[in-house]
Amino acid sequence: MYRYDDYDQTIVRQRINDFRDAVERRLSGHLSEEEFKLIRQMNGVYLQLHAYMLRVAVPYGSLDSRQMHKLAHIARTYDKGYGHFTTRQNIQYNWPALRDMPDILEELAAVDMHAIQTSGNLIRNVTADPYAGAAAEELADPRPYAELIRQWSTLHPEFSFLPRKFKIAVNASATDRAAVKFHDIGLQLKNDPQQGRGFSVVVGGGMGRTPFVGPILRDFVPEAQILTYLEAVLRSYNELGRRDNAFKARIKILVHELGKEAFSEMVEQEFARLLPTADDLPTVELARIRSQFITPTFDQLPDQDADYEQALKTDDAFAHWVAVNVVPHKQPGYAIANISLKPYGGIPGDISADQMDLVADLAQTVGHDEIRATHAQNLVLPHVRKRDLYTVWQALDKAGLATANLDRASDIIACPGLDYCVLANARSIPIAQEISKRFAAKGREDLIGELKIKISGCINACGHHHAGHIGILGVDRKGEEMYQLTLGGSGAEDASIGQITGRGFDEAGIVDAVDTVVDTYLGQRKTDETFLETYRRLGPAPFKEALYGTA
Amino acid sequence: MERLDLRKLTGAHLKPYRQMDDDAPMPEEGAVLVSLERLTAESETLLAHNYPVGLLVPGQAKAADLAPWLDKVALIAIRFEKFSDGRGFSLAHRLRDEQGFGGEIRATGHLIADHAEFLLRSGVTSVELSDPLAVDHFIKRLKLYSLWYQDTLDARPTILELRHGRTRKRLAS
Repeated sequence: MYRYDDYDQTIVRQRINDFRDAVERRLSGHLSEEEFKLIRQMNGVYLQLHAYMLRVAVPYGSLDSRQMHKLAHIARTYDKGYGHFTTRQNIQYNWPALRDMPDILEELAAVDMHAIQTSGNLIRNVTADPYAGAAAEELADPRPYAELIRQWSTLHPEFSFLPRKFKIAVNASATDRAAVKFHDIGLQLKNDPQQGRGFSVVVGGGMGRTPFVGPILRDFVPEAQILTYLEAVLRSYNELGRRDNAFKARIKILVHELGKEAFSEMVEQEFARLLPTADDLPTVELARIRSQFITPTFDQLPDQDADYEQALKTDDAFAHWVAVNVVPHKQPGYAIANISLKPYGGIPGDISADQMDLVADLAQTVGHDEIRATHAQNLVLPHVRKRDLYTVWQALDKAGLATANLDRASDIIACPGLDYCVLANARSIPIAQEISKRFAAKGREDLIGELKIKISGCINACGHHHAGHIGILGVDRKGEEMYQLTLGGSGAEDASIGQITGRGFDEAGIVDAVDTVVDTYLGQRKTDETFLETYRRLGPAPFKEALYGTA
Repeated sequence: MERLDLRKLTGAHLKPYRQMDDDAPMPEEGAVLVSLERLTAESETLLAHNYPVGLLVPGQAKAADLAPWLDKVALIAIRFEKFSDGRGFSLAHRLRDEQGFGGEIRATGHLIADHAEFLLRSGVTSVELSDPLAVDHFIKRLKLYSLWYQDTLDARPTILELRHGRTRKRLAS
């Protein structure tokens, strides 16, 4: 966990005072809603269909128990007793009162948290691999880099009024758990034999109405120069990104319209201009940030634990949860435990205050005080001793948090949709709930294996449907909610954009259609083949035939 | 119109500039703002006058295009067409950092108090505002912030410099 120093703390406090002043001006009528909109957005406050919503930043998805307890407290005191984890590793509160917002922000500041830049046309919360510091195959912990970028992008004087929002992700493992290729900038840590550690930089990926798997703009940027390179990219984007049409304002459109080569040339020119006078302090700062992270002191343990092995043998439900939700840790005797926020028939990402407290307690007592939020809207206890897993599971199970469905059909990503969002064309959550119930009732998730279903309630694609193995997009057709189906997307290192199958389905039809697609896969797959592998081998034809019949 | 020096938090000493249309006849006296087109076309007569001539440019102007005039004009005024259009911040930054311009940069147009601190740290030295209330809001916000992570383009230290007890060095050296 990164600990704020007085400087970090002061920045957050000054921002709250600023926002408190703006809220007072709004409530007393001195600020119009239109003027206030921009200010509140930069501070994480949205106006939804029914109420204001506060989106709290969870930088790179990292939380400790103190922070999680605070999130629970806020849910209880200022909301209806729950919160909602988002696809940017953040948490949203859907029902706080506007006049309470500054107080909530004060509460957050007390535990080194804030809601700065979780909305607006600026650099948003930086995301990273949720298994950072725990993953067996990682090159280095990506979070210090993400924290360096968080600070550099916080209240940036030049880049706070960009053409559109700007999202940066950092990944440091061969396995991409941060969806770097779908970001405005995706940083993949790598080692170069001559130049040492640095990043391969993806620029111009994204979802929305024109999805792109981002191209690699530069194969290697040394870590000492990364902020300089980011500055060159952001300045080029701020100057040249389209401002005439919000739908064409993301950097992906600029890169696409100019062409990767032309844009890259422009960035290179600026990068070359900046380098001779570039600041050396970020490198010094990186060392300080690393030292400000409280990293766990792992116990030296044998990799196997007799009691744990015994529990696996005697308790099938536990063994099943371990098989699905627990993944290997870099440290012998430890494991990474995923906590699903996708109970069958539940709302993806929702968590009650009591559940938050429980997760916090577990982290504190048996989890080296670390919790992560994932972009798949789940939580992780990244450092659990194998010998403690059974206790952890029992506690989670009692609290309804032990659903064994990580990366399975019912582990669905869904945007808030028409139940909350002003932009949505259709509801997402009820569709997720129905699909989840269907798979639960059929009890064949284990048979199906890895299957990522993602649902967006409109073309803005907050539910990442383009990157779903099965994607669902809600559309409005003459006042009726309809759902388009896409197949073959992936948000991982093998990123791809799903293809639309054909005409859409109504609310009941879309659940059947997903079932049909899964049946087709099960009928056609070869041994050990995942859904995505089968789809990539066969292409869309057999799925279309099953869905629509032969033409 | 009100004027405010973003550092001194007063506008009393700032000169008013009259914005001239490209075809408007020049006044006998008083400072004027002209477009890059007019300055380019009429530079000899304009710069021969004994009153200050400033250059008025939109946020999307290219700093390099202004380079030939930077040591000849009294001030650069950057016009923000819309408060949400942040190109003027990059232009100001480039004028300072790329072109080494040391004179006054004045922001005009659709400005809001939330811009105040960002303008100052991007290299803008003064603003032109439509009413006295806006001036108060600007001053209030400028007083609110005392720390920043990014380079300020002036002598004020960044958080990184404060943390590490020294000024930055160049990476290349």
